[in-house]
Amino acid sequence: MKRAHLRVVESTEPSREAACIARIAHGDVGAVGELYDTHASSLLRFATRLVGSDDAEDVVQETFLRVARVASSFDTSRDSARPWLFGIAANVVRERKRAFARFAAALSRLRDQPRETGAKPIEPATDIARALEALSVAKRTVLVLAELEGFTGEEIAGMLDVPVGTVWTRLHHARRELRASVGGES
Amino acid sequence: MTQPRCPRIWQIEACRDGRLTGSAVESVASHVSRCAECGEERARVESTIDGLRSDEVPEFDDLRVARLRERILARVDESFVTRRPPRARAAWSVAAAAIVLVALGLGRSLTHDSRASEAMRVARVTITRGYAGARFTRRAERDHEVVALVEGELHVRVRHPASSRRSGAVVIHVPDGVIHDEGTSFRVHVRDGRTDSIVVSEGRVAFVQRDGTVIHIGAGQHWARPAEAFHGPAPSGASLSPAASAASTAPLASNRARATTGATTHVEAQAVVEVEAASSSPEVESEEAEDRLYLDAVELLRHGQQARARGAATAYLARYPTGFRRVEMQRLVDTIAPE
Repeated sequence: MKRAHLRVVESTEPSREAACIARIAHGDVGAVGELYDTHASSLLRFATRLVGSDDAEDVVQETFLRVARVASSFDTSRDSARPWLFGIAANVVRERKRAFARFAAALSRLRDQPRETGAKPIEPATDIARALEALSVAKRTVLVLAELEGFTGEEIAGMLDVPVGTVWTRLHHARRELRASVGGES
Repeated sequence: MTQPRCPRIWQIEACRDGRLTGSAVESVASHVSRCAECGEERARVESTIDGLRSDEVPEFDDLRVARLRERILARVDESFVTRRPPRARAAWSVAAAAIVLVALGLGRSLTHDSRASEAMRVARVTITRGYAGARFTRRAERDHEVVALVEGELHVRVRHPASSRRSGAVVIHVPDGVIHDEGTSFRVHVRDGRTDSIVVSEGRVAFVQRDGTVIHIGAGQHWARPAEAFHGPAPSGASLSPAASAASTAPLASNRARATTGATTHVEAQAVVEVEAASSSPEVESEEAEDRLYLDAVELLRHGQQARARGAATAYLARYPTGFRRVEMQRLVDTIAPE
């Protein structure tokens, strides 16, 4: 029973990507464009699954801004920039969620009682999308990276800077919760 | 959910996540084929994940992706500029110098120190827009900016401090020549290894071609290849004629000499690059107008008003010959027969 890997094949040519990132580190804006052209669609898809389509663009924009800042730290011996990029995007999502949580907490302290803001949150279209959104960001991130983007546990651990055991634990709980939500299991 | 009875049920996920390998995987596969409970567990896991995979997220349309690209490149460019070491060093040097002078009680003389005031004069070279696919590099020389444009279109604006208006804040190397600014705002487009067009909004630029021909382009003028496509008001003092070209070569030569040797008598202006806030830029207003014209054409096409769509596309091409959507607009014009 071998897991069928879902690795998405991007047009990545390792040496070319490493060279591209080296150019970014030297201040070449055009190289950022090249990297964007290769990875934007998959990063947008990933970000949409994590934060919804309205915020996905912001996440991808912040991801590439960080790429420009930390390009010199890219390990040029890596086969592809893809795990590195997704790791940055995942961290952007995590930090945004934290910031939003702080903002929401501050807001709730300020007001006496809950008020309608007028803007209704966008409801996910399907049961599975609702179940995915119900997961914590940490679990959702790991699940999407592993099951939809095809990264291995070790790769995800490196991307998120957590032990691989933590990845597996989150993955296990994410699957359980997803199954419970969709299939009514407890 | 009842407690699983089979002690090997954990191996389903372990296999899936790569925690079991080799013969252990084969053993699990063999077991699952015989154990109903493990078989059911595997089916449930796979069914859930299949459901997740089949729930596709909506694709972002090309225009949205292209717009995001432009936004990102502009912001990245801005970030590169703000962290440029030479500028930072210059700022620190000025700050350190000021502290030393104050410490020495020379505050009074500071107001008369022409060198300090010269150092504060900064000509700003602004690349306000690099169109999709624009490939260029740039570097700061002692007193000017050098941009090498390989392909695509750049919008450049040079803003001088009122006290120090001079030419030569930026030199743009294109595949077939060099463009020198003479205190100006302009855009340049390179395609297939040749300069395609230069449009000047303010001031003047001098385009020195490889064969030595110098073309001066003034405010409101548009130079396009081939050479006869020269629009706009009559080029006062600027001409394509060989005589005018020869007459204007001398100051450029001195500019070039200064660029290569850096032999200025003092730092009269330091070139820096920045990307302006989009909302305050006239180029961006033009960008919005360009977008509107493009969207009008698309909207008309969607409503089946082909002739009007063709008209809008033609208007777009006339107004924005090097526009972001020129290829699509040209295709639209080509595919719809004129009435």
